[in-house]
Amino acid sequence: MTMRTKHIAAMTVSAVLGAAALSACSSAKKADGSDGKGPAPSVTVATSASFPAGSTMEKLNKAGKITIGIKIDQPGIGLKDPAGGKYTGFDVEIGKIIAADLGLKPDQINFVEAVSANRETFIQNGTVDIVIASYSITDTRKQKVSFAGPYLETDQDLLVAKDSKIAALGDLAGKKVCSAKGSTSFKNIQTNIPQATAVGLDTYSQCVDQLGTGQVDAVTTDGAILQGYAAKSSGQLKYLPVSVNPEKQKYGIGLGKDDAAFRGWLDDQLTKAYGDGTWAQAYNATLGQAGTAAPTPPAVEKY
Amino acid sequence: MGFLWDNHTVILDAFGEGLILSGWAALFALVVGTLLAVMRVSPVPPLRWAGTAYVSVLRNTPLVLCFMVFTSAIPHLGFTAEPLTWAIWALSAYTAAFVCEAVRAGIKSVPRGQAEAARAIGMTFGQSMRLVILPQALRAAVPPLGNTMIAMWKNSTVAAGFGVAEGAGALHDLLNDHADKIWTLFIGIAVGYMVVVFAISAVFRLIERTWRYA
Amino acid sequence: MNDTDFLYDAPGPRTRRRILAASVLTGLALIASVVWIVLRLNDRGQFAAELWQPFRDPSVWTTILQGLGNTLKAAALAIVFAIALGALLAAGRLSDHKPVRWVANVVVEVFRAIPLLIMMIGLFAAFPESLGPLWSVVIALTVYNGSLLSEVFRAGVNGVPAGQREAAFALGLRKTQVMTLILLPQAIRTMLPVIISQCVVTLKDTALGRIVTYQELLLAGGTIEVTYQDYVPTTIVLAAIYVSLNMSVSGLAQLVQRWLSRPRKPVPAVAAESAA
Repeated sequence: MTMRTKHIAAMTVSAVLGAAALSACSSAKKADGSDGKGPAPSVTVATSASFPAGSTMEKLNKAGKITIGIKIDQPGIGLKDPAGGKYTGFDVEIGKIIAADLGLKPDQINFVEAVSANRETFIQNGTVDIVIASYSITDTRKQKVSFAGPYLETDQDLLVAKDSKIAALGDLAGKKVCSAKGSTSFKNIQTNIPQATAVGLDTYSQCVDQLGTGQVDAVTTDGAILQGYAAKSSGQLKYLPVSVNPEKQKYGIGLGKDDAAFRGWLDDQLTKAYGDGTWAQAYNATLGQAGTAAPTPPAVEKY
Repeated sequence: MGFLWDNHTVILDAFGEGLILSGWAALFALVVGTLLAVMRVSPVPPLRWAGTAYVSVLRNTPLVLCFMVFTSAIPHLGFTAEPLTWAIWALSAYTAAFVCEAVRAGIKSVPRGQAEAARAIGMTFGQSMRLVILPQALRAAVPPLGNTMIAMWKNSTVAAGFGVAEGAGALHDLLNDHADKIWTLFIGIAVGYMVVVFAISAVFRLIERTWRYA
Repeated sequence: MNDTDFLYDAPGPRTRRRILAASVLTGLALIASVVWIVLRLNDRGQFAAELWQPFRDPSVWTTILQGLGNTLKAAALAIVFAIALGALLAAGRLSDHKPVRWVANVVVEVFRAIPLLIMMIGLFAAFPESLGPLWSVVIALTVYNGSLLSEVFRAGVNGVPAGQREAAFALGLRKTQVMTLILLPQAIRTMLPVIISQCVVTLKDTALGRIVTYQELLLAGGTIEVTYQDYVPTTIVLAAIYVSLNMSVSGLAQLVQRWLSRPRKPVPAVAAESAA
């Protein structure tokens, strides 16, 4: 236990060093396909915010810093630019909105990489304050952490090449459909579209690469992730919202279990962002680059 | 045990796929590796250099990277193939370097007198290789080749990440649904691999024994 | 020039001409295939400046170096633990007590037969919270390489001429003294090069860690690929890093071997298992 904690601490330090160049504004940079096209989202930092004494919000506000766990390898959602260590994506924008409501500027956010396997641990041992990392709300996870939101709903869809003849699930007979080995999406290929051949690779990026070289005919996983890749491909890939599995994935903000006041406050901030257009702005600047208009945001589920 | 039985089709299919992959890769690796070994001892310098370069690069490359070259880089040059085909290529290309080393060590172990006698009766380099040196070299190389083949069988698990549904892939997939059955699954699949490892080593011991008196 | 030149006669004038002709032909064929690959890469636009642009950016190299650092860290931890475990298992296999020998032999046979990847996936799935990616990788590499090294250690000790052991016992040294004062110092000469070349195997095998999301060099390369869509250039750069790193370590092993075996009569060599 001690060894692992030390290790995570070391990893965190290196991630922080890598992210030190995090810039304060989301200026356009060519390396990131999703920037510089849509209107740059702007958030207003709550300068005179005041919070109930003893609350997590007050603690973070006083500390002048929040640590957020995000994905660093999902275009459109959470992506770290290897050059400069800048983070982009919808999850990052949501993080900036929350930070602003806490009275924190974007450069006071400490983004830390969270992979699927360590998100609960990071929250439980305090490595991060919150997790915004395409983190689906499930009952199993609710036994270990709490969720605010959801702030995005998505189901399992398809990604195809721009000139592909595939337009619906019926067109997939005999086609190769790719997903990450061991994922639920991969299993759903076999159960929901048995007419297709399932190809399992280590990562979604590999699937998208093989789609680009024509080795597979389609990629499937959460629609939001696919939208991110479509946005990144500058028109080479097409996102098809055809519901391979119609069950909705609800992305929520993960936080410490039973911190009800913080959860309620986060829910309120999301609702506010839905109302004042900052949520839609964040969407359009990131996932919306795939050519989809901002949907109606999902209602937050207070519990 | 009941759990493994419930999923035995998935697991056995996976091992079948792994054996198909390893079988083809073994064939190609043994042929290519032997050719490389001959290149490395041939009197023609460019052939020696090419053989040496191939072995140095492949031996020092992680197998995962070798797979990435075949499944990602080469398709960017406009070639496509099935995942299993790429996996056979990648595993053969990688294993051939180790086969080459085993065979070359075997060639070095053949007494000088054999080659000298072959030349004395007028054999060319090709003839003495084919008729005198290689048969003895391969016999000496049987035990290290057995180890190379065992390593290759275990290495075939890497193909799981590159679209081949073999044993490691089955483990990964089944874990997704049955995380609570981790120990049953892990032990079951590990024992499956061990059975094949012991089978390969038994086959090579048999070959060794048969050839010793040939 | 070549340790296998006993395979052919010193060439006469005619043979020399034939070898020259064959050299020119094969040389041309090799050059032609290299040129073909380069042209094909060029055709597909893989030398386009913007695909290579990221590698002119120092911060991209920071990402690569972080990955390389993690690769080296996992390999270093694994090799240190593997040497310790290997020594322990070798001691067990050389023990005078039959049950100890038996247990050590079973452990070695079992761990040598389980694929590393299965071990990593299993460890990571069984202890996701307590191990995490790094220790799943390190422990899997340790038990596997430890088993291999135990064989190296055992063969090394057994390879010391029997007279040494007998003479030591005759002098009245005890079992432990014979081992530490007489056998090990001599065995280390044959073992050291094998241990170093096992480092290469371990370095390469850390690449398997990406299956359990360990952020090693290949995964670091993955973040570059996903950002810049430069799969071919990144693969070339990664391969160059691995090959030059591993070749330096292999070269070190050869140097050590030459240095150790120069003045004295060589002890029977121990064969490295050319695994994974």
